[in-house]
Amino acid sequence: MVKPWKRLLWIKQEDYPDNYTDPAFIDLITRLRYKGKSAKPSNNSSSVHQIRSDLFRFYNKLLNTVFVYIIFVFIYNYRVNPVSFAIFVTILVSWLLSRSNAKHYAFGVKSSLVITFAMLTLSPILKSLSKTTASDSIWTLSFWLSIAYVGSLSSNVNAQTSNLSTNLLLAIVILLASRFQSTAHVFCFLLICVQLNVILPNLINLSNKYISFTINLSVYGFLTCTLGWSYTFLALAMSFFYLFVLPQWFVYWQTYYRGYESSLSRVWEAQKPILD
Amino acid sequence: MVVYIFWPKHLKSKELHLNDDNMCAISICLQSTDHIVLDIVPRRLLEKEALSAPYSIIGTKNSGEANWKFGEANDYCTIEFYVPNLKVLQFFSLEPIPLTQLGNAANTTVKKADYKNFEKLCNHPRYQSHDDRLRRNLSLLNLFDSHHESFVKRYHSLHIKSVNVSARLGTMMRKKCRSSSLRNIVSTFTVHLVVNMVKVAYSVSSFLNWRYTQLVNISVLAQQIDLRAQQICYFPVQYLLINEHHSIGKTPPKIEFSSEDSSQWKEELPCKYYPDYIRFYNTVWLILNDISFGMIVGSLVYDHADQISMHLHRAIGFSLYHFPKAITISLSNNPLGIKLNHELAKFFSELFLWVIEFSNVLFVGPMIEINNLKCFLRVVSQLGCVFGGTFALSIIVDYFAILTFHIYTFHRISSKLYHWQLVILLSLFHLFRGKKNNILRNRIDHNYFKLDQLLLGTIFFIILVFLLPTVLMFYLFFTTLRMVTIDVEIFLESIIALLNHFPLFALLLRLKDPKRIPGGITMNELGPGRLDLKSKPIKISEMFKPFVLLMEQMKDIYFSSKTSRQIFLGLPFVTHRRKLYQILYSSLPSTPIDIRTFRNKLSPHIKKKD
Amino acid sequence: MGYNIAMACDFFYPQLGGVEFHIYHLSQNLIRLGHSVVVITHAYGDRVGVRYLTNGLKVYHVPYFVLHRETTFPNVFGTFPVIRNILLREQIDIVHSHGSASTFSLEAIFHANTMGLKTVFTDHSLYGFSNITAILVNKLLTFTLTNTDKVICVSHTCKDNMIVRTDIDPRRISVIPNAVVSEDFSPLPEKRTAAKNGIVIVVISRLYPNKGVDLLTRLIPKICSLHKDVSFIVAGDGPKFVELQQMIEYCRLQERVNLMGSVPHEKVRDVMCQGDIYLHPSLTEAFGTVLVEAASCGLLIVSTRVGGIPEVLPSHMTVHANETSVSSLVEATNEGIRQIRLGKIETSSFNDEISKMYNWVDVAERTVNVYRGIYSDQTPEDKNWAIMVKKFFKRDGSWARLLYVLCAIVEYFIFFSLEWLYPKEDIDLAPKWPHRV
Repeated sequence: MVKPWKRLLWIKQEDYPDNYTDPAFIDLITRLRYKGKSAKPSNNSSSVHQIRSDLFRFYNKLLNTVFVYIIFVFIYNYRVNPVSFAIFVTILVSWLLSRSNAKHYAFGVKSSLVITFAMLTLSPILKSLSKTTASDSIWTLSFWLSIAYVGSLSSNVNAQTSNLSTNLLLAIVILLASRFQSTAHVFCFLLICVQLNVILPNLINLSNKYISFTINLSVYGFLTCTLGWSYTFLALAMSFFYLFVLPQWFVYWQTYYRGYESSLSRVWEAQKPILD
Repeated sequence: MVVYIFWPKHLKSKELHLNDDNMCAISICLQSTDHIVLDIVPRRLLEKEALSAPYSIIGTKNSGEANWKFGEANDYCTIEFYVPNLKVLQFFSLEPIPLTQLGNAANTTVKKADYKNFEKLCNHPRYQSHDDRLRRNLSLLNLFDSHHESFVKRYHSLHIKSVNVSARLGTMMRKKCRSSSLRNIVSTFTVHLVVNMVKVAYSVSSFLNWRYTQLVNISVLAQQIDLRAQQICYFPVQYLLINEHHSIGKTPPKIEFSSEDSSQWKEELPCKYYPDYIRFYNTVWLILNDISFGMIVGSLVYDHADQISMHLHRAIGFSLYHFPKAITISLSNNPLGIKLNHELAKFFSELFLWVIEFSNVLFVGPMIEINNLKCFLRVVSQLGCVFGGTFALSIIVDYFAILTFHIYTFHRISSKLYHWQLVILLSLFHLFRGKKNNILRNRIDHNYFKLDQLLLGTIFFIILVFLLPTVLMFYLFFTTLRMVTIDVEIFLESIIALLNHFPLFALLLRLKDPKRIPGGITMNELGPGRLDLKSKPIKISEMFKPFVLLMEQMKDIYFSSKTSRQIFLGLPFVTHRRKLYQILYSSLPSTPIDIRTFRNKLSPHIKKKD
Repeated sequence: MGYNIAMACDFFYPQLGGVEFHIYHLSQNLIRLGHSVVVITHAYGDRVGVRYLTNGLKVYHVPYFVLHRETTFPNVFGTFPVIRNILLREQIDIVHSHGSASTFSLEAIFHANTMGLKTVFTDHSLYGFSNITAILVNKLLTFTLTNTDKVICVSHTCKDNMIVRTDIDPRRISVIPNAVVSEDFSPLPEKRTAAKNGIVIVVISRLYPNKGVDLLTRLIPKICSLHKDVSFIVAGDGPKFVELQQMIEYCRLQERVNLMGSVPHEKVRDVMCQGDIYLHPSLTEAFGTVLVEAASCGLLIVSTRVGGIPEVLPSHMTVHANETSVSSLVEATNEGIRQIRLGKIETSSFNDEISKMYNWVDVAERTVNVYRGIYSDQTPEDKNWAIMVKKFFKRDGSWARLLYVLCAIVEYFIFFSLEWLYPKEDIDLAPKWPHRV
């Protein structure tokens, strides 16, 4: 009577040679390798949906960042007085702050005072900071900083934004603010951008249907007004590709290119630590 | 096995003289040395006297024969040499004699661990020197005269005496002279004079080295005076040292045949005290040379003070006032098309312009006024005539240091600003990355900052980044200016160092009698089985070695990666003037000799003379 | 008559680690069995050239450019001249390479195949499929193992992983575990009394993220607050060291957590013997030699259940956490502490049991069996170049296989030019170390 084979190393299994392979495992991989490739994964729709919602969140963050440039263009190019808008945003944010409970105490009275007064004090210095620098260098610099900022955004939606990405955003804002002629403009621009891009995403869910619609509408509306339909169309096409084609493509790639590896790899990947 | 026989060349004439007789060559051979022929004697004389060790008959030559016969050994080699005259300080040496005590100072930099291993290696028999025998032979050669003398004393009958009448007369005269009362007075007076001079020099040196002011580190003049004072303090000691050794050299060597130890030989080698002798006279000569140099240049300067002061006035005025002023003004107006921050650049340029004007009114202007300059040059040249060129030069260096004081302050101000900015930028950069420097543990920690901290930090970071080029431009300009002034000072100080280090005495000795400064030996082949031993004088480059080493040290200090790092970080770089004098000081005792001990040392000398 | 074997790996003495000890002990026992072994590795500092270790184990330290963490710069052909020279000089029959992260070992296999020698590869680690490094290493390994005669894995999990990664015939893969020198990991003669001194938990790990240090930093404060008489010893150094330090400072556990920093290998046993429980929070592990060492020292093992760990030790020596979560690991640690407190497990017998389960003589004999298997299974066209190129072409995706074939052809050209430049006849043969009978 031959003893059944066991998947253990510490016992000597003399009946089985060293190159004996678990038949169950061979079964598994044969099934996956030769039949699984042609068969479409069944839970396709849900995974596409999951990926799309993740991409959508990131998309909204990106649009939110675009606001920095929109506001800048309004003040710098179209000479719009930002004071009223700054007051409006401030009121909106403080209303939202008082509405949400005390868990956002990070933006307490003290820090908001510190922020405000620091910006007030330093605005005149910022105003003169890049006066002698060519505008082109500033645009280039802010472009690269924006790229870095997008790169530094966490792929995990629920994670706290890292210090680095907040700092990169602030750097872009300060860099752009240094182009303005008037101290009030500098101050208002800083105030609006900090509130819109740093504080607001913590208070509201950007991916909310209505909020997202508002954001989309304002961004594409601005794009149409300033650059015309062709650019809007291009941007819309890119967004469409990003939100609808890319998730499908990714799932297809996972299924057909990586084959059965992806369905097996759970055992050998370094496990994610669950820090509960 | 080849037998080596050292053959003095002066015996050739004696050989010719005795050519009709049968001759014997008598040699001395100590333990582990080769045979050294001491004398040639007619064989008939030897029949009465029996030679005992270490003397032996090494060779014989019958009348009419051309060549010498050397015992049974047929494989022999004669090495011919001129007997060095120890009385005029001629001798053979395997290594170049050390002209300075530099060796001690240079070796301290070697790491201790490395040094240990190196020592171990050196002690290994494989790496031990194989020239012991040659060394012993050479020391025997050096003492040839005294050995010959003791040989003659022992075997009177072998020697044909000749009395030198004049020498005897000289000795008698000297004895007379010694006992006269005049000499007594003179010597007492000299001793007191010397003691008082040392006293004065000692107090000057200790004043300059006073703990609280440390004048020596501030002024080149003080340093030079201190050096001279310490040299004066050391002179008598050095003199005594040399004389004691001299007296040893004159006594015949005590050859104890029972215990022929090589260590005993080494003590009597002249090269032990000889460097001291050279150093002493070199210092004396240098001081005299310095004064003569000072006289020549000083008188030239004195005569042409008018023209020189005219040119100097223009040159200094341009380089220390007009030029910095022009550059400072241009820095505030987008220099070279580089767009600096206008506000900050303007502030800086106004600040520095104010300092330039202020310094110009306060000291630079008056100091370079033509009449004052003329007066200064005259004073300096006269001082140079009296105290030597180095003094004049060191006064000039000090004068230059005072003149460029405002540049020094500019450099300090801009380097401080730049350094602060760098440090702040670095810590703000950590904040930018969401990290902070933990000073207690000396590491970079992760930290989660609050929004207000982030905002403030980032605003300051951006502001500082934008202001950095402006600060950097000013910093670079003033650093360059400061470097130029330092280079000028270094150049002048190197001239002083050259004057202080010039191996004048050794050079003159080399001209006069190359045998007196041996730098090794050479052997030339004269014919089959005949070699010629000659002393090789020290190379000129070897004599200038201390100065070359000094220059290399200076190069390491000022043109090293460490200095450039200091400049990059905006830290001050210090001038190490002390290093220029290190070699000179290393040949002096670390603390000037105490007057009392000095007097005690002198007193037996006086008594002996009495 | 023994085989002439060359062990090739980037990692060897003076660096100390799992793979290094594996190669050393395996070589020593193969020498004892009458085979001749040389080790080929890169130069470490001034350790360049040929060195001899115990029993005439000859080590070639080839001077080579070290890229990162003692791994040499990967280029497919760079080592060919020197490896060819060594293999010919030592008259090698079998090239046995270790470690898939070591470019040296992979290149040695490739060159040995070209030269028509037998090749064996041992893998010591698990690789996933979801990051770029793993994908690159897998491609490289697929390429290398195409014509390798036999593969050895240290655990069944590792073997499964290898099958999926490189798609080679499972019959060519043998499972031979690591071993420990149980005399070097013996418990203290007098057993610690845990009840009196409190329970000590030992963790020895290079503090890399995949060793589960994040779990550890959260577990330690929890365990410390749950049990007043438990203390920790954490040995090892790595990028996560600072975070552990910060945790200790933040929770004020300086009295109870001893952060030792890196510990030399010969001191590991002494550290282990100070504890009662060995905690292993690793997130991936092919075999886990350190678990066997700790059990050999008489410690109870508390571990995650990842990779090959469940296969390694019998259940009475271990407490497994079901998932890689802090709560699960805390639970398992509590269970371990409870068992130690009750004193119901007899840890003193662990050493004997381990010495029967894992020893190097056994490993060496099984390895020799694998070597014999090469010769019994061989076919004449195994090392035929045309056949090998054909195999390369059948291996992988449309782009990769072209690259493989290109590499192989370039390799053959280099082989010819080396034969012409340095003919085989001109290479001196090294005398073999006299075998002790």
